[in-house]
Amino acid sequence: MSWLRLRDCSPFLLTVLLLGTLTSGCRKAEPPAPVSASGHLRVVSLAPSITEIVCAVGAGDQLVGRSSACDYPPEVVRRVPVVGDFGVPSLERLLDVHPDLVLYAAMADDTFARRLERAELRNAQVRCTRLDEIPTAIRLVGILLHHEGRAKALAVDLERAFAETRAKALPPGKRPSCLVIIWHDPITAAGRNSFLADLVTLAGGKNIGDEIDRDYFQVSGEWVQARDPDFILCFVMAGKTPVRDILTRQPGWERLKAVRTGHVYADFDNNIMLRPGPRVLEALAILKQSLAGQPPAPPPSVAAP
Amino acid sequence: MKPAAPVPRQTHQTRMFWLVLGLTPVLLGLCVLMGAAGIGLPDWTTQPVILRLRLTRVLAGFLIGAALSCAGVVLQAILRNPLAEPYVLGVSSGAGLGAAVAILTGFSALGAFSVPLSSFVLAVLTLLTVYRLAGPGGSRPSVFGLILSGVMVSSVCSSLLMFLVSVAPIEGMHSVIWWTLGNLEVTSEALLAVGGGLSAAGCLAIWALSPELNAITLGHDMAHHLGVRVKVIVAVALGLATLITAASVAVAGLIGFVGLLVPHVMRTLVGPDHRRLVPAAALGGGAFLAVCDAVARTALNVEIPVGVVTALIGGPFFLFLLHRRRKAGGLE
Repeated sequence: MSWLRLRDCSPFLLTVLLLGTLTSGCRKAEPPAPVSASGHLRVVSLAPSITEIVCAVGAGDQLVGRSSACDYPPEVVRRVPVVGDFGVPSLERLLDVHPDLVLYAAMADDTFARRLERAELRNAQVRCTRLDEIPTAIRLVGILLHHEGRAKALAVDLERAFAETRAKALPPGKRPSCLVIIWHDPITAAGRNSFLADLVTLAGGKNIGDEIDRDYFQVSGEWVQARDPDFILCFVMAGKTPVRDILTRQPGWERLKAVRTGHVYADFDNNIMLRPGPRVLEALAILKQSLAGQPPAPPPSVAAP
Repeated sequence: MKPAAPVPRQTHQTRMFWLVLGLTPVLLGLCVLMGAAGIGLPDWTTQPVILRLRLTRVLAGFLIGAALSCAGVVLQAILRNPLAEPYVLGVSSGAGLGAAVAILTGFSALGAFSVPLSSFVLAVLTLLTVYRLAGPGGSRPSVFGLILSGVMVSSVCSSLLMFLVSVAPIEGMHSVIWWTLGNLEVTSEALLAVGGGLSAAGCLAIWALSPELNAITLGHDMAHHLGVRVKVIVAVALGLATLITAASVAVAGLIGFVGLLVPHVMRTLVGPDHRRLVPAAALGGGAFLAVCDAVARTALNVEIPVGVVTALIGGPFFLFLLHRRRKAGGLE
């Protein structure tokens, strides 16, 4: 009998719930206190690296929308509404925040730019997937958002730091060889055309995946055995998965040089390491430290949104 | 069959059987020479790990190929349907669902056995459901009912799998998709020992059932009149086929075409007698999968999922076979 009554009242419950979400949705969709009061552009960033660049050039207060993956800097992103997932924005939520300019890096759906144009949304692609694209991307964002001065200074700083690091680098023959892993099942390594390969090379390592003309590729145990790297660096975005244990448990891996010498590192803060943005020098420093034999400090803010 | 020439055909089939028997070790040996570290035999003293990895991989290919192929023979005999294959009763989608659940819930991180165990359990559950649906009220399931409920349960499982994949984080999705394409890189030798041992035992048991299988291919009624306990044999054979399919799926993911293609090829080579067909299919299936895997690990400089290779080689070959048979005038 009681379940019947419960069923009777469930449409009511449903309506209440629905109304609740609708009204809260409306409240969220209302422009949260017009941040662009001074006639600044209202900007949406659809990639975490672009969000970081926008903030680094001093235009954080112009952000009116972001992807769910944008999590830095926390004090800025906290008040910026989410308009979709990384690479998969929702056009409706995007229109809801009335942006003047939509910045994106790469889209899961290639026709998205066209759909933006049809909706009369000004948009620009900021290519920022490789190390050397970062200064260019920073300059571009600076120009688009009228923050050229700060952007240029930042870009020049980065370029100078890259050049200095390269000048001091070891000759190719003396560099420690590294296997760079981004996923453990199947084991997926970084190839020549990846940001991580750029970063490892700049930090003074030799990425063994460089022989493969790709960004990322699957490797077999045999491939790893034949190259026997000095370091195994794991940048796996999978929360609490014990990647290090999973990898060292693979058949025969206990005989690898990196495993025997304890040079398997997995505790990187991947929001810094995997993001081609203004914090690249931080990533570089962490990586250099690792290649000197010091394990990286575990990320301090795992619980951060 | 032409009544005029039974003897030469018989000898031809015997010769073919010995050819399969002799060629299999040669092919397996060649597979050991091929790998990501280069073509050639890895040195036992300097590269023991590489040699061991390669031997494990060839062994895994052989055992799983043999199991899938034997399962195909059994299912084609019992369901008397040339399109029957190890996955026809929903084992693959059940196992796929199990693996996806394990990967996406993080259960897979607990050890090398968690994904196989989960896929195995769901595969067996799926078969039980199919069997139950096909023969309501404990009656003997009809061939038609088995196939129909197999397809239905299979598509329900596939939709659930698609649902899980669609809500999964992108990385987890990658793992699931890779798993559904099949891979013989065994993550644990203990797993191969259990899964491969189970498969080998199942193949031998199926071989022991050969005379009964021969009778059943004549039709269930005919077999009954020949003194075969059809109900028991069908249940045992289906159980064995599912068991070895589920075991191989648990070890290597979903590998298509072996169980469909190899039994047909072997039937044309060594004839329909199961006493000879079962061992030939086991050897042929094992060698075929080991060769496909050798191609998968050496064709490009990166790993290709072996399921893709079996389909790419198996598909056209199957069509060629069909075409030739049609030209010869006999279409099953």
